[in-house]
Amino acid sequence: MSLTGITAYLQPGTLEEAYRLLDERSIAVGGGTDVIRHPHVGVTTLVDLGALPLRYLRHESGFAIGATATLSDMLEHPGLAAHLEGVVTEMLRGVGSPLLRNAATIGGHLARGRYSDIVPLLLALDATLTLFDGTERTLSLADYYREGLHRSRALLTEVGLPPAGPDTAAAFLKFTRVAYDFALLNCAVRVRLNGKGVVEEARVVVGETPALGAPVEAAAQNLEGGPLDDDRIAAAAEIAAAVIPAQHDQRASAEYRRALCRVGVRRALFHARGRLEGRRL
Amino acid sequence: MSDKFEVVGTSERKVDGLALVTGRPVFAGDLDLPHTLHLALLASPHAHARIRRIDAGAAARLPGVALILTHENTPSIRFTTAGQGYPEPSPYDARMFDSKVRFVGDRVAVVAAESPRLAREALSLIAVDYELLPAALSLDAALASGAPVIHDEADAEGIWDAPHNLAAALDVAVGDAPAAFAECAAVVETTCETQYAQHAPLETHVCQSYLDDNGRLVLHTSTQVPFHLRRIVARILDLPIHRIRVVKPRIGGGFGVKQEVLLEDVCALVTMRTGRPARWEYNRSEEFVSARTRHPFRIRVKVGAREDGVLHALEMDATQNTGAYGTHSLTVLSNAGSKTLPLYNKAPHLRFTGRSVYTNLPVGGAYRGYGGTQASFPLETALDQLAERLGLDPMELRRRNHIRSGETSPIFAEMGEGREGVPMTIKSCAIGECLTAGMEAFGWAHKRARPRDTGPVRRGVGMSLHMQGSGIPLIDMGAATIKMNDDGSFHLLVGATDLGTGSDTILGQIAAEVLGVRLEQIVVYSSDTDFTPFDTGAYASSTTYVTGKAVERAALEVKEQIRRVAAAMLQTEAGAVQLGDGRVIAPDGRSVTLAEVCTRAYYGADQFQIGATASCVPEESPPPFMASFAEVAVDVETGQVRVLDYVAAVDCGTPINPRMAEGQVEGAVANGIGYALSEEYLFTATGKVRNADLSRYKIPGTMDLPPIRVILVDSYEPTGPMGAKSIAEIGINGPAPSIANAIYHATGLRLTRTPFTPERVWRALQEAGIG
Amino acid sequence: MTFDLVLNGLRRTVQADPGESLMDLLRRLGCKSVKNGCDDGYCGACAVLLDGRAVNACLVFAARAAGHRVDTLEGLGREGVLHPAQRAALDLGAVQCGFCTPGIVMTALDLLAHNPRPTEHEVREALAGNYCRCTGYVKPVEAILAAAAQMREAAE
Repeated sequence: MSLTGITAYLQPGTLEEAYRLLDERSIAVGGGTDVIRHPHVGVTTLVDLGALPLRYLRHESGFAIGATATLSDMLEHPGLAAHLEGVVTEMLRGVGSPLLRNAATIGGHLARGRYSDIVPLLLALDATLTLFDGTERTLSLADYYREGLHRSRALLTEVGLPPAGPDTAAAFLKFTRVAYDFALLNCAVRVRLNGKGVVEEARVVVGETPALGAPVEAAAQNLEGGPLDDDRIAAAAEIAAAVIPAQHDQRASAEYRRALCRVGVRRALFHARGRLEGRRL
Repeated sequence: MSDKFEVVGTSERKVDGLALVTGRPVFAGDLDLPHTLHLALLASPHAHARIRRIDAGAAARLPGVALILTHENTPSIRFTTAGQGYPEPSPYDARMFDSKVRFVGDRVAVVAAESPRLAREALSLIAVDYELLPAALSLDAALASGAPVIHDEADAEGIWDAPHNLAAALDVAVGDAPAAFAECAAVVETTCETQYAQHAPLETHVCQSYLDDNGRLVLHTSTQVPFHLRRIVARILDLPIHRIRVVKPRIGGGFGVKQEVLLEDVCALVTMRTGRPARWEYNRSEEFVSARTRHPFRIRVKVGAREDGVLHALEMDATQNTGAYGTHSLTVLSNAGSKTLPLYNKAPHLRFTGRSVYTNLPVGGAYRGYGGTQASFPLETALDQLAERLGLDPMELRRRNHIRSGETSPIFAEMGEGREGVPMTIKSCAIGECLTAGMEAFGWAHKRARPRDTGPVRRGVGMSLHMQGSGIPLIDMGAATIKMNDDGSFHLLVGATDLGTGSDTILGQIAAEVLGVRLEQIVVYSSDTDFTPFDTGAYASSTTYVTGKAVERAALEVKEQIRRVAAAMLQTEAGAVQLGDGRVIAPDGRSVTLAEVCTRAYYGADQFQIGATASCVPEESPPPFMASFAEVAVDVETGQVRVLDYVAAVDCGTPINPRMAEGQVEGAVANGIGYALSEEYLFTATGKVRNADLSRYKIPGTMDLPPIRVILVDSYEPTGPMGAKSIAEIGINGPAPSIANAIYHATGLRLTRTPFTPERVWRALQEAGIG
Repeated sequence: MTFDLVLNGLRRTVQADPGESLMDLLRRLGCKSVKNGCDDGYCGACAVLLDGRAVNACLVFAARAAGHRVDTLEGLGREGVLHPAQRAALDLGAVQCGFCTPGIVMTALDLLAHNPRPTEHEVREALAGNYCRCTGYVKPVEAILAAAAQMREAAE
């Protein structure tokens, strides 16, 4: 919806210029699809990053995704579609609608920091972010939120996905009422096995509890050090269901979210395991 | 039956389709008039309150604000907003602006300003002092002794029992149902509750009003009821009817929500007071909160059958939540019984009791299905349970009990649109074919016989049977004017209201059929109170059956005139000539073209305007029938329900335009699936709607629906134009009961509250120990 | 603010408020085919092409279109000849009230430009953000498949 009270729409040509323009009365805009729906109090200037060379998707050993790459850019990238049996595209297909994905940018989405399917999966994949706040630095996505940097002036310039080895698999799922819907709950998992089928590294991330996706360390730790069998998967799911910060809201009750969590973590881990087994065939 | 027709029974392209596929500015909101004042609504934040004081001074002083309307400076006359025939069977319990507000979203004031932005800005400068009153935010709260009286005004009319918050009540008995249950071999009783839901037309309510060059008021508005609107606005504003013109442009969906005077009274008053065009458009949130909704119901059905599965007694008790105003209250309540009970006319003992209850919640109105939708759910659930009790396939129970051609039901006479009804003998009924064709296309037998799945996802199938009506007998009237042009074409003028349903097209097809021309030769112009004859409007599935008949009659009169002129030209008997292919043909093969006929009538000899106006008041309301079949997959670990397959087999008499008839059912079924699975209003503890937007009120999209299959079975209604009945509403009644019955088949779980959202289903499964 | 964009193939200089949505701008410019169904990015009735990709015009700042290409339904079909998507919509009964039609056609154009041979599932996926309350999506999906077939034939 058109915003009243905006007095300037600026399109800087360099990162430095863009950063200089950001203060309490201005906000960075990628696709703008979130800012236009949720006006920020006191903001009178919009700083459109569209002219910066940040719309790219490079596939080297991992992936480097520029902040103004659209969600469709990500969805349609063949390399990303092949990564980890398409877990990223599987997740993106449920995000919004094609119309929304054609306009929304990954940077804008991550900077919003709520209502996200993307964050849980990127956390599970150990994604990194590159920020610019006068100087450039790279940190984990987890730290970005932990340090509240999504609410700061720091400009997000790139998202990094590390490469994944042959013994790593991931899965994502979300529960909704209808297809085009924010999740009632979502789950993202990643597991890495050693040559003997023992889980060396696990990530279990649950989101829309209704809080933003956060790792469930206890569940992940429970998986590590043992085989990825039904009992251990069920145990991890049980732990997750117990410890997530589930709350009641308009979409779902806390009790139902815990039930979904138990089912979701279990199904996601089964899915990931199935992918590993599929590779051995 | 339809292979004897040339144009009727053909899937012609819509006559208004070109404008729609090229994006022409043909909707009410696409008009831009200079000097327009934009209106904005100040809605009540309270569910129940008296307005002690309104201070609009600061708002009025804002530059660009032209007028502010409140109860202090507007007519105090009471009316109903229901677009129904006069005298309306709804209470006169509304004022343009009242000194009392009765739901969160009720009108408090309207600002008219130079721009939409200014109008909204001015709203925040209006200071209102409310005296809060206790609010009744549920049926039980409104019915409790000592409940706040929602309509305590002295000048309301037509309220059944205002001190007890009853807008309407009904009690209909045939035989002695309560006693007759004792005689039954099997008795089932179930109580179902249905939710607040909204039509969610893609185009919200929008109205523009202006004074024409001669100072007459013109309402250019998205309405289903142009003539009722004209009459009601005339009365509210104390204007002569002939000083008002209502024009309906293209409408972006209505489904009943636009069978209402919702914006036009205020728009009109602004124009009358300022002399300027006025424009009022609801945003999506206002459309949810301050427009109209589907009446929530609590309905208890008790049904008893003999050993042989024939129904012996049928009882329905319906409590309707009509919200803060009683528009459509009595008639929707009445239709809950009249559009369900006659379907099973074998039962000699029937009882319908019902009451419509005011609450301090959003207002119920007309919504496709109109009570039949809500009542189908408990009735078809009870029958499903009864079938199981008797060891019968659900289809077999229906076969043993449904009404047939040549039969009647006492309900037809006992229950009409809020009054007594009209007795009727069914003259067309293809229920048997609906059941057979539907079950075959659906694969009922083998899907029903599948052993129950035991994994987390369980499939099941369910069915239900439905009827609706075709217009309101002895009350509705539709008229048509046909005038001929000198190129052999015709203008067809109808008051009937095409809201995207395609009525312009099918009425054109009927005229073309009678006159022996192609559809392209008929120019259809509709819904303009200055130029088109009267029509009650688009509701009660009336247009095809009622207006269609008027079109047929008018066309037959015109045909006779053409024959007389042609006979004079061909020097033969009028009775001997035939119309076809744009010509008039004598027995010996000589012919004249229709162009020649009209050229002679305009310029040649014995000149006159070939044309006629004819009307139709239907004497009965022949029901369309539908067998509905749904296949679902229930994830018992999460409660999510997916519809895998859906078949609707419909008897609508002759489908005037088969593709459009299918489209009506496809859309209605989709809407019904949303009603069954995901659509509902959520309220705060103080009666405010929490999810008044499309992000949180979930309607089905492409990924939520199976390919819906519609079968139009062969049928012919002798009283209808070319054998047609209607099809507009019935489709929406199927999904809730079919899906509920399918969920039972899949899981053993009986659900009695719509919508069957994942969490609701999950909880019910948990409580039942399933999965 | 003042800026240029290419609207339906013509370069235009337009004025817009900095916070104005592309939908409001386009309707102001006379492109009434761009419908306001929710102003919230859900119904898809305002879908237009921005550099060939379908977007909700209500979710895009007008200024973001500066220097870019915008296409609406008004620009479709040349000299009275309908585009196959328009013709199929008419022929197959995919248009009831028509309010969702412009958004659906523009979204379909994006789909067909990138996937000339879509399956029914892919058509449904592409339309996941276009609501229709009249048709149940049955005939619109059929129409897009028919248009795709026609366009493939014409290309051969």
